[in-house]
Amino acid sequence: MIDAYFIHLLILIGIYLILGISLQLSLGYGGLLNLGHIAFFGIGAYAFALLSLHGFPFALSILVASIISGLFGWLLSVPTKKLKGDYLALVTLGFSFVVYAVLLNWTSITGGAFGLANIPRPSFLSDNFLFLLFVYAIAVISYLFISRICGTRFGKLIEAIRDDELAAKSLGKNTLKIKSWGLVISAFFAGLAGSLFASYITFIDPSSFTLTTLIPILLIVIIGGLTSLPGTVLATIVVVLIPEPLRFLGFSSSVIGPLQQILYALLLVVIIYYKPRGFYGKIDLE
Amino acid sequence: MLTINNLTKHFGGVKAVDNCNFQIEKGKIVALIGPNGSGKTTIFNLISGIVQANNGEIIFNDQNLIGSSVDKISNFGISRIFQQSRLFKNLCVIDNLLLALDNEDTKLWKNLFGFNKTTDEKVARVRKILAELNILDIENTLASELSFGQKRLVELARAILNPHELLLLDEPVAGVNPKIRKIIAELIIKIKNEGKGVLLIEHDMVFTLGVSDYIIVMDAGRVIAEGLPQDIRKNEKVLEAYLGR
Repeated sequence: MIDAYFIHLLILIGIYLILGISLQLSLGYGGLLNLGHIAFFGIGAYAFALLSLHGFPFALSILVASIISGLFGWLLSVPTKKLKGDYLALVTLGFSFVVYAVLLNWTSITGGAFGLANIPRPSFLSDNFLFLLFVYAIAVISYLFISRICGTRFGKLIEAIRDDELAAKSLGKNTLKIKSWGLVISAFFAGLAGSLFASYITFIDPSSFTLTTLIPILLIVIIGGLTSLPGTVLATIVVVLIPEPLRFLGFSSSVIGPLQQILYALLLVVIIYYKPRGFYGKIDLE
Repeated sequence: MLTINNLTKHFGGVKAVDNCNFQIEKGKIVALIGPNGSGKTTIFNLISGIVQANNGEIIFNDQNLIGSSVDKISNFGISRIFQQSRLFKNLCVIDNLLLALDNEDTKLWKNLFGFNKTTDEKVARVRKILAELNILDIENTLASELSFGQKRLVELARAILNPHELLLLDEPVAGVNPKIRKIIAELIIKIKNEGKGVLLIEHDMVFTLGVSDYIIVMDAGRVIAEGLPQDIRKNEKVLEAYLGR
């Protein structure tokens, strides 16, 4: 049987893969510097946890939690529809902070800093190996879905808007609608990853949905290469596994966290210096 | 087809377009000429909805365009090229052009379930215009890798493929070689012969006088003269605005 630790890592890779490819859709293909992705991950996790704890069936909880996350994606797209670049990044980052503050302070619903514990997992997935298979089935479906979107004329239009929104508008395209869809789909899959995360860990608290968690997800997209889904897969494996040896070097857990961030920063610097387009990126990081 | 009435646009204290009036009829090439900063491109931006007028009307086929968005104006039947290249630089030429054909690509579910395929008919339409412009060999080249002249031709092809009745061309032959200039001139005349209107901004007087049916001269945001090319050539106001005498 595969070692429990190895299974744990593979599950994390599967969950981060869904997060990475969903951010690839909005950031790589859509050019939307969306720093609210971590908030969608959190919304999905909390929505799933609350639904499960209130007795909703597992599959329905995952679906509804992902839809709720997608709806928040749409809500965020309304005030940000005319923003791009740094301004969009700032507003979506602000959105992440707002969601974090709500998760932390709406204690009657979210449990505040104590989080939500004992999130149920269905008996047929109680074994982690079976859960691993389930996560990978969802990850493959998510990959195929996003890959399908990117391969259609709709996907080409998303890329066209990234390259020049005014030119796309002057061809009669309702670019605000397209960008909205991009954000909604991206948020839906981030929420899906959040549901899987909550179901796997069975305990969530706001600290899992901060900027510290967003950095490896951004890193996955950047080092995988913008507009490259295979690159995202490879980058997910690298980003999840690279800090793992730190656990075996005898550092205390309070040191491992900052060391992990330093490693990520170094990785980013090295990749941008030697391979500015990441592993398989097709466009430049601007 | 297009009627401009008392059109005015200020940028702060600068009157970029000052009470302009003119008309464009179907099947005519109208040139908008004048020195740099005379308001020509602002007129284009007003017609295509990129900037909004402070006053006046832009009537296109009985519809006032004032207040309409850029995409809606395009869908009313006005297509344009810009002064600077605005191709989708990370897409290849054929993808740039396929996007111009219709708006089926904006429908997520239709695309997702495979009901908006890139049909042979669509590809054939794109290839036909590429062949007319003598650039069929670059159909799979990324837009960012094209030369200046090739970019101009692809932009022209994209504007032509975008369904339209009126074509706005902002300096289509600026910086292109005589061979490409000739190709562009022939294409513009072909569009006119199909019964469509063309509004042209161009500093190349030989080209402009050669293809235009009617010329409007602007200076400091105002229309200072208009008429047939042969009359404009001898107009004192035009010579003064252009040559400073």
